[in-house]
Amino acid sequence: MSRKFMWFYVGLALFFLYLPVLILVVLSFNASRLNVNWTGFTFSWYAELWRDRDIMLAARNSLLVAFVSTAISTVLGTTLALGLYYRRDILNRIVDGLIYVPLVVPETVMGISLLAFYTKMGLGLGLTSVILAHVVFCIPFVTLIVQARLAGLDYHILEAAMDLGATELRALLQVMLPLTVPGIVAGGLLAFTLSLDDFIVTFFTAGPGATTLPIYIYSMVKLGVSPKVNALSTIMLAITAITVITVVFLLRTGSNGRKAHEKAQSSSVTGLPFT
Amino acid sequence: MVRLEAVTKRFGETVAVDNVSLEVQKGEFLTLLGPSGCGKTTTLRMIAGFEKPTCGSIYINDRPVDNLPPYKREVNTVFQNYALFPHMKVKDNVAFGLRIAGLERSEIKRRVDWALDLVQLTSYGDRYPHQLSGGQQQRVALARAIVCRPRVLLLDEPLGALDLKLRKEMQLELKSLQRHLEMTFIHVTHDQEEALIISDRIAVMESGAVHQVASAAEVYEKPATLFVAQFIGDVNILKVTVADGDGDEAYVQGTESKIPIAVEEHRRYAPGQVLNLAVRPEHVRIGERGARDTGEPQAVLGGVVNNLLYLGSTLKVQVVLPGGDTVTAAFPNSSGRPEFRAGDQVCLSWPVSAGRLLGQ
Repeated sequence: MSRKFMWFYVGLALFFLYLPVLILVVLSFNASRLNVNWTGFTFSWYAELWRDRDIMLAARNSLLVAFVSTAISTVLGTTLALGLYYRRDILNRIVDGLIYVPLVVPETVMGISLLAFYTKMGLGLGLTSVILAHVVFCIPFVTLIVQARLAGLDYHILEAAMDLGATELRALLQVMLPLTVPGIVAGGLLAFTLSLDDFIVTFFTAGPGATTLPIYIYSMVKLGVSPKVNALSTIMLAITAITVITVVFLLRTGSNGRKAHEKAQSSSVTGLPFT
Repeated sequence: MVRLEAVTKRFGETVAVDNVSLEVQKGEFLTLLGPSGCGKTTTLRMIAGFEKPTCGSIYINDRPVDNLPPYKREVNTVFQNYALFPHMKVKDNVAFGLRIAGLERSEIKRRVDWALDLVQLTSYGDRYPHQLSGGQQQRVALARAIVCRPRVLLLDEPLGALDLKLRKEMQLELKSLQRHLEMTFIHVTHDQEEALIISDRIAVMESGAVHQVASAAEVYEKPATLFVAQFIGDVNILKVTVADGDGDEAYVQGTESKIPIAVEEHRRYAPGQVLNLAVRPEHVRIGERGARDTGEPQAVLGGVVNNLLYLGSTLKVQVVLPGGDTVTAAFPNSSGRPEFRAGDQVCLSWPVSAGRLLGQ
């Protein structure tokens, strides 16, 4: 009885969560221009997307913003996490707390404050301002994930490297960094998805000519939901889903170093030559 | 080889190491022994360079190292949980220090092979640390540290994570390795038996202070403080007051009776002082007075058998004295079961020279 109820409950939850998405994906292949009846299967909306210059421009902007802000926030976020790991004093504890603030500040507030800040600083709105804004909210996520990875490492490993003659920098590059890579990559991928589908902060900080996909989709919907929007959303869904699945996979192997190294072992069957 | 001069380490309000002075000779196997939290690991970490002394100085090979980072000190460490690099093969772990030193490839290979051979892991070079057992990982950590040929090898409870049987094997191996390499070893442990087995000298620590630095036999037979006597091996402690001596014979006053002690022991203290008389259980005999008389004067007390303990290789008898103190006597099992039972009135004795007076 209780088991049956549990399955019913789980089914209901999944139904509510995923049905809208499923409908969207299905409708993106619908031949009908109206979003109601199924009249036949087609790829034509995807083809039309490809021909739409405005959409392609928005996609180009989105990808550019996502790549650049991911690169910057991954480097800065990782550096911050390593810095916090190396030295533990009062200042670091304060910084450790402060980096989480962007995670809890309402996005609208962050958008408005960034807009006010840019205006004050005389920075014109455009792709640069969007990229900077994305870097701001991506850094905490990268730091958080890299920190989690670092926390799983034995601190004595770092000491062992220095004991064997490695300077701090060398110990960092040859021991800590290779062991942190799964966390860094996962953090970067997460930053990429966050940047790719951010709407609110982008909305406040984007100027003319800096339209990203989420903003463009929003403006399209104002004129009614076309199947083209469904197709575009499906593509974004696919990109995000693939990235997030990769992140989860990386974090799982990352948190279990043993697994990661077993993989490393099996992938190099011949074994590296002794160097 | 290593000298600590009045080294103190504070963490905030806590004093981890309190004014420790210590000298370790070249080629010596010295053990820092003490309960957890006594400052032994902190002392080791200060020698390695992971902690800076709050005050005092450390010298390695007569050179002050207080301002040298760990990577400039001629010491290597075997860590408690091995701290192997999980992303490197065994041979790369061992070669790490040599590569940093910038040795030639052929030389690195020769020395890695030498070190792996020394710890009997020759065929394990291509494995990853997680593919090895705890004991094997421990050997890799050892090989990685000795391959650099440090002047001093520091070992931070290296056998702590191994099971009892393996630990006993490794104790003997460590000892013979140290003799073979003629290297100075400073070893940290809380296991008093391990310390007795492998050390040339033992430094017994408690609450950040060194109580005694001496050979295993001396630490056991002539403990400097009550803590040392109680921490290493079993011991009977009786509260006594120093009585007036009269030249040839010296006494202390127990709760019930006068107990004779060695004259030289007596001379260290003034009459009237309240002290502890320490006697090891294996020195205590039970039976008729003078039954095993070897000519040496004996301290003799009467008591009632309270309990008989069977421990396999030894038998222990607990005797309650009229004053309420309990004295334990230990016999090798081979001497046969003692012919008395709980409640029997017996006579206790020990050679006068076996009693030792200790302050608080």
